[in-house]
Amino acid sequence: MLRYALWRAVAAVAVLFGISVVVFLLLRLIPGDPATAVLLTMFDPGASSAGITTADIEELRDKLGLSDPLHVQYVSWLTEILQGNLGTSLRSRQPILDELAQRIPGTLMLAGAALVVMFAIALPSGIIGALHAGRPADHVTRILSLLGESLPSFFLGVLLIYLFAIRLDWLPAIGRQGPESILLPALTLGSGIAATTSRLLRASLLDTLSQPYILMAEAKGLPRGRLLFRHALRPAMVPVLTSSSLVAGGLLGGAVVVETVFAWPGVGRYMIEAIGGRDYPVIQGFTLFMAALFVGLNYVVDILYRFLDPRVRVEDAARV
Amino acid sequence: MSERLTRNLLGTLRHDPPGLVLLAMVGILVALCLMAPWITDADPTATDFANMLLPPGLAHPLGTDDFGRDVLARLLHGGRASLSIAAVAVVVVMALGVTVGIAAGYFGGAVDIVLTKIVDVLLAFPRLVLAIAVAALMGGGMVPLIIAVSAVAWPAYARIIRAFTLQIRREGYVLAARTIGTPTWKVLVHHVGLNLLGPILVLAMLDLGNLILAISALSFLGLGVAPPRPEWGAMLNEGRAMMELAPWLVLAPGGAIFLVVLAANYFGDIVRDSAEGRPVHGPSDWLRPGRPGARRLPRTSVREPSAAEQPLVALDRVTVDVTDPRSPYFGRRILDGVSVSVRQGECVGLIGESGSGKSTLAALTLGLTRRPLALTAGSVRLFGAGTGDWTWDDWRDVRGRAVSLVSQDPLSALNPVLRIGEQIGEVMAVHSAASPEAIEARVREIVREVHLPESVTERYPHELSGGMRQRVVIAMGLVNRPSLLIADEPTTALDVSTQLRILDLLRDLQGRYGLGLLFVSHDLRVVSRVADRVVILKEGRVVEEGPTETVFTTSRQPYTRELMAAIPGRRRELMQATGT
Repeated sequence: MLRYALWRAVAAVAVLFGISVVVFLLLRLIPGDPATAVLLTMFDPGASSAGITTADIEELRDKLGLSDPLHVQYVSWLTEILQGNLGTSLRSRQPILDELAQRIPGTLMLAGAALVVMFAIALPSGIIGALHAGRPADHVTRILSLLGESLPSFFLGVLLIYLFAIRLDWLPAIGRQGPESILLPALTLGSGIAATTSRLLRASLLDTLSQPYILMAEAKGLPRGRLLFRHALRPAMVPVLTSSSLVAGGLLGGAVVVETVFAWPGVGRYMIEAIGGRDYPVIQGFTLFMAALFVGLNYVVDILYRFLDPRVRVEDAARV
Repeated sequence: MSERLTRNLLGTLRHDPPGLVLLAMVGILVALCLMAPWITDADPTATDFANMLLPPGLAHPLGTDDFGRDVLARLLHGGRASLSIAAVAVVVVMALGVTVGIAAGYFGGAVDIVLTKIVDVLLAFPRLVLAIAVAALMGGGMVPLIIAVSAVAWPAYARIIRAFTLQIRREGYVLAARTIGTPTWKVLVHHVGLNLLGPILVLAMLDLGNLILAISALSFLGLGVAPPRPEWGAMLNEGRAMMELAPWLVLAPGGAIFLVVLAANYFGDIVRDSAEGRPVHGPSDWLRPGRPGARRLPRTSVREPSAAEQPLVALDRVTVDVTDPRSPYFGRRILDGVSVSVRQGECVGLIGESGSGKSTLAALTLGLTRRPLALTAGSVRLFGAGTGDWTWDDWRDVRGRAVSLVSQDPLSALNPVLRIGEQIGEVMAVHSAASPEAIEARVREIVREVHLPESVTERYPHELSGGMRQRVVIAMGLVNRPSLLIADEPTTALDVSTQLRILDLLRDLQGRYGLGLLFVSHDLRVVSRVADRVVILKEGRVVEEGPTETVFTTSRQPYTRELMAAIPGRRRELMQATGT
């Protein structure tokens, strides 16, 4: 188990290395010369390059290390990153890591609440879909999950604001004003990913229910609740958990959109503000941060998965 | 493959009115968008401050926005932008994914390693986050949007296509083409590419909805087509500030995106179902909660029998048919007027080849007959009580307490994620009010009785051998000291020496617990070792029955003699020599 955890950690670090290369190269996507772009942003966003002299650009190129060969730039950039320095925001002149750290609790809170919403929707609908497969209840849950899957989160969010904040005036439309203000963003973010999970759970539970050990459990005279929750649901959750990287990806990406719709103070909104102000280092730092978070989450899930399914533990022992 | 798929698809759609309506609606919407300039002569970008925020009406079917622009014109022209971006993105994604996937899968080696690593790294990003970053750094606009969406979508395809290619590469005709010196590009296009066409189309269909969602999300965030040119996601974003005054500004583009994505997902669902199949019906009876007013049997009526002359289980001329019209075997008779009974302390061997209905009979004694099968005639009496009107809960009460099952395949009879101790103990816990300590003590005792080490209770099924697992199943069956045990081919999945040990164990336990044992098997040798009486079943009918020795030595039945002749000769001599 420990050996497996270490082995997976090495693999995760290798992927992180690849991610750092991609994120480093992302800045090359900026049209034109990065130094010009940075200068434009620093002096007057939206202005033309008329007021900037060639000497200014050359000076900044040297300062930013842009005159060095690419691999030298990468190594010095990576060295900074490894020391916990994601660079400085062009607009606020604050270290990006500090700014992200300030805002990450908001995003994590939103993602956590969305997870709760997701399970509250996906567990019952997946179970009902499997237990009543082929019957009306199954069709209803199937149609609902199709609708949930197809409704864009930004549209759903706007509709919820219109209904609950504008028409009914029950909940705050935007921002974080009290504990109840998380309801609409969490519902928006959670219901979108609930459809996928519900679908997976239905398929996996149907498969489990047709296993001989479920028939055997029935022959043992176990009551319904124990049959379903102890004997069927736990093995059925294994494939659902395996696919949780889909869920995590959906949460992190969706958070950017939902935070924008609800003006929720989190890292996603920070990113969108940075895009508006052409704050390139922030865009780069945010992308690296989110990718690292995603890799970390997947690593944790991968280890947890081994506790849920004892069979895999043995395979690992044999493989590692 | 793709031909069958198309046929399935068309077949499914024909019987699916809502699907047809949905497709028709989207078809009309797409057609309207493509013909936008001919449908409406309003200019989507012309501002008219005299007519701001007009509600939908005759002059402006979908109203106007805060610049006085016609919303219908913007919706249709915007649709052209959204849909053409999606179309181009699909083509780019497929081209990239297929090329990389085939290259990695076909060439293997270093090419494969490098491409697979790139794919792995790109898949390690949250998709939408990377797309936003790419589009933002490129400055927004139509081309950056297409690049951003494609850049994050292709790796998943490359991975799947690579797996397909690896499969096809090993097919005979590809090997043959390579051996006779066909140029590589020709092999790739003709033999690999064309074969992948079906899967590629399916994938494209499945993901179209996601792609459109991603495109409109990026435009919503302001990373798409530059204003004032219309695009659905951007229109929604511009409209939400005015939502209180003019909800149509949000509803029109939002509804359009929703409709298109819904159709894509719906279509993708049908494609997935025709490719993979969708289970028609779920499991069974136990899921439906008992009717609240349902009569519960008084527990005393299903207690152990009072006298030995009363059979533990008596099947009286039972007939079982396939009654579900959806089953391919609809109308087939599985058991035909079979009568079998088992008394206390007696072992009855039920012999028959595969398909003779013997497992159906075993299930009948536990009330486990399931769709598509049903009991259509005859009766099952358990401990002297008729079971005809028993509910699931009545059956549940006797199962595992008074009558237990040892099933055919010990490898799959145990739940893989629960410890052995729990799986044995729970049978006792749900049927009695015993304390946890009492249950634990009894579990340890029964584990010893089936000759397993006590430490086995802490283990998971996959850590045990087949023989050990079957001992666990027997322990589960006997933990509550039932009076009747149904053993359905309990030794078939085991090797020969383990078979003998399990048989001896069963016979030993039968004596100790005074069990009635119904022993189902296709193997005469095995049955002759344990059974006092045998019943021979063929195609759902009883061919012969009687004391084991009489049947085996003096049978005149051709079928019985045939079965006996099928026993390998030397073992048969051995059997006769030892007198078993």
